[in-house]
Amino acid sequence: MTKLAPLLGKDIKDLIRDPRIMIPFVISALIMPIIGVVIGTSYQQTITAVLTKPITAVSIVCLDNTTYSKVLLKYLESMSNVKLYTYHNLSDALANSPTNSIIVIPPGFGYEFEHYLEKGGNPPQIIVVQKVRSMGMGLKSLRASIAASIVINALKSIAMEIYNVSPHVIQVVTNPAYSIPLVFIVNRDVFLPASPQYINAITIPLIIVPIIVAIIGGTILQMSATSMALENEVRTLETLLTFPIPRVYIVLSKIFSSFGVGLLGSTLNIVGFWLYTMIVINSFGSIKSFSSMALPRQLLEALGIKNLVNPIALMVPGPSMAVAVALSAIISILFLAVLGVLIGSLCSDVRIASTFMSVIMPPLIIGVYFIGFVDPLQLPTNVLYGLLSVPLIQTAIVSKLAITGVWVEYIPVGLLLTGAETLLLGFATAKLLNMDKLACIQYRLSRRFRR
Amino acid sequence: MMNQRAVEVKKLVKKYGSFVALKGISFDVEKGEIFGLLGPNGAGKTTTLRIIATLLTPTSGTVKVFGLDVVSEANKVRKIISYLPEEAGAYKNITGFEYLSMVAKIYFSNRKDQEEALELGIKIANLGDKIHDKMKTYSKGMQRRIQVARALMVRPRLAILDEPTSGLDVVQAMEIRNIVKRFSRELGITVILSSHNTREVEELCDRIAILDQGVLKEIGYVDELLSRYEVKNVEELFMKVIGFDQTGSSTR
Repeated sequence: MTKLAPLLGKDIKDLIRDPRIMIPFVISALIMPIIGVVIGTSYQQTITAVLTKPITAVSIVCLDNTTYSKVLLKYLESMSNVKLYTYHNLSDALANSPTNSIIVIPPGFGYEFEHYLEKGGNPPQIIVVQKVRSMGMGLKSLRASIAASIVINALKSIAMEIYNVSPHVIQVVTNPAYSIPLVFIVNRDVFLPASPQYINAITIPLIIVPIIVAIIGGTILQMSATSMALENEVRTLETLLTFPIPRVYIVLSKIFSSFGVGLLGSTLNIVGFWLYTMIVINSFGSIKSFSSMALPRQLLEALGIKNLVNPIALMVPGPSMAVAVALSAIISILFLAVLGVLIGSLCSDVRIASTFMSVIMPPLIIGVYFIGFVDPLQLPTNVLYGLLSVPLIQTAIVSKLAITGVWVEYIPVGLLLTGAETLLLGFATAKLLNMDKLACIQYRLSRRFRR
Repeated sequence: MMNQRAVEVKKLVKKYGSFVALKGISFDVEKGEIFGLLGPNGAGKTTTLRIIATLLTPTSGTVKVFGLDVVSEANKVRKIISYLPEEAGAYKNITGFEYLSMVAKIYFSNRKDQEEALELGIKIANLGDKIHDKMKTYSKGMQRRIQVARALMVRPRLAILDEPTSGLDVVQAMEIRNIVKRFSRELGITVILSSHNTREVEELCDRIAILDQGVLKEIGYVDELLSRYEVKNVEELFMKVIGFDQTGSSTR
């Protein structure tokens, strides 16, 4: 094995000093937090502009001549904080209204409201149109809901006057209790806040971990394939094959160097992605509001709900799952490094290797993304076992299961299988490092890709 | 064993699918000589050298290097040869020194031997301080010097050089020829090289073989062949042997 060390040293130096490899890693580590800041800032600005800016003027298209519609119009006209513009048809309002919010009171509104007041059933309908000329984010459409609330509140007040009901009764009727929704993760014995504002924070770890796995896998596959294809392109492989060393050393050297440098680069990628995630989640307000949210902690603790955690904390798995994730990740990375060496050795130049990669990568990425968006335990058992036997996809599943702490009995079998697949692929690659076979395959591939 | 030949090629055939690259060629290379394989493009020179270098396996026939079969004893053969492929490039991001150092460590286990080989490599490459620069900064001629140094520094019993001056300008090509000539003699290395440069072969080689379309057309000492064919130089000899007159018209 002493002859492997100089080869490995050469491969690591050649990879790590290649600016085409290292610069993207460093840039991704630096750029991802910047992207996070840009997205977070623009998101917060949009939220401020859309949700906190009050509506000071609305246009009303009243197509109903009943008493209740006239009462409603009169009520709205009397509001000091909202200026009202009235129109007789929607097209006129869309063309000439100075306001962006247009409320349409359809014919028969008054009769429906009267029926609703007296007998219940379906509430009357109003239509709110929000005029937009451009949109930074889809959130602008929420202005329509804010405009609608002006009419809804006016109708509430009219109803209270008719029935002589005080506002707090209406509040009790419409909102009789304050609920604190919680999620209990069975296998991790933790509680999470489950109200809508925390959905992002719960969802992101479940999606992001498989995405990180995909990034690392893709990086290592690309790197080892390029490195090997370059040996073919500049004809250094021919020289290596005449050195007095076992051919498996050439494969091992490529695998370990791609593994080492890829891991280093991926760590930078992960750091960048992690910072990006934290910044974006923070901009949604979930982490900040988590620490200061108005939870009745004393009540919860009295009920035995002590381990209420931030959803982001789930990204750190328990010890046994951490071991499974680490083992699976190592096997997957080694498998992809071997696959890259195999692909690279079959390609006579880097361009062909890149074309090859563009064919190989999408199914792997799609597989990992599929895992990102699916509940693995909802998959049919044979499908789950099949996917757990595929390197990289296995890592995505295991890391996703690690978040909820679910141990599937098949995991050790899957690890053994993917380990065996990696060894077999490595063995086949070493066997293939033969100029007779390589020259023949490279010739066929060159012809196919250059057509 | 005293009279053992450096290379013995017997009835060597190599087929790529239906294409026959070598059609049963036989020749020997004596110890200590510089032997040239001359031929036009596609003659089978590179295929022959790759088989001797254990990169390709023959379809039939045998090839022995210092008595070792290149197929059944390939691992032993690799310990006593070094091979320089045509247009061999370099690892762009490592220095010439690091490259030679890696080669020394691969060929020798003993630290003293490694240091001696490295010292010799640096001497052969003769790149001065540039030996510590990354090889991507090297000119084509410098890259070739590093490769030739790499091939000779391990003191192989047989150096196999495929078109060692291909793609180089006149000055660079002359430098490489001088290196090969000087160090092969000094170190007692047998050299087999291929070329389609007749001047190079005339200048460097003791004996030559002329290959054309996978067939060995002629073999012998340069002077002997020139007088036998009554020609002034290897270029004329080459044209005559492969069936062209001096105007380049085919006489085949």
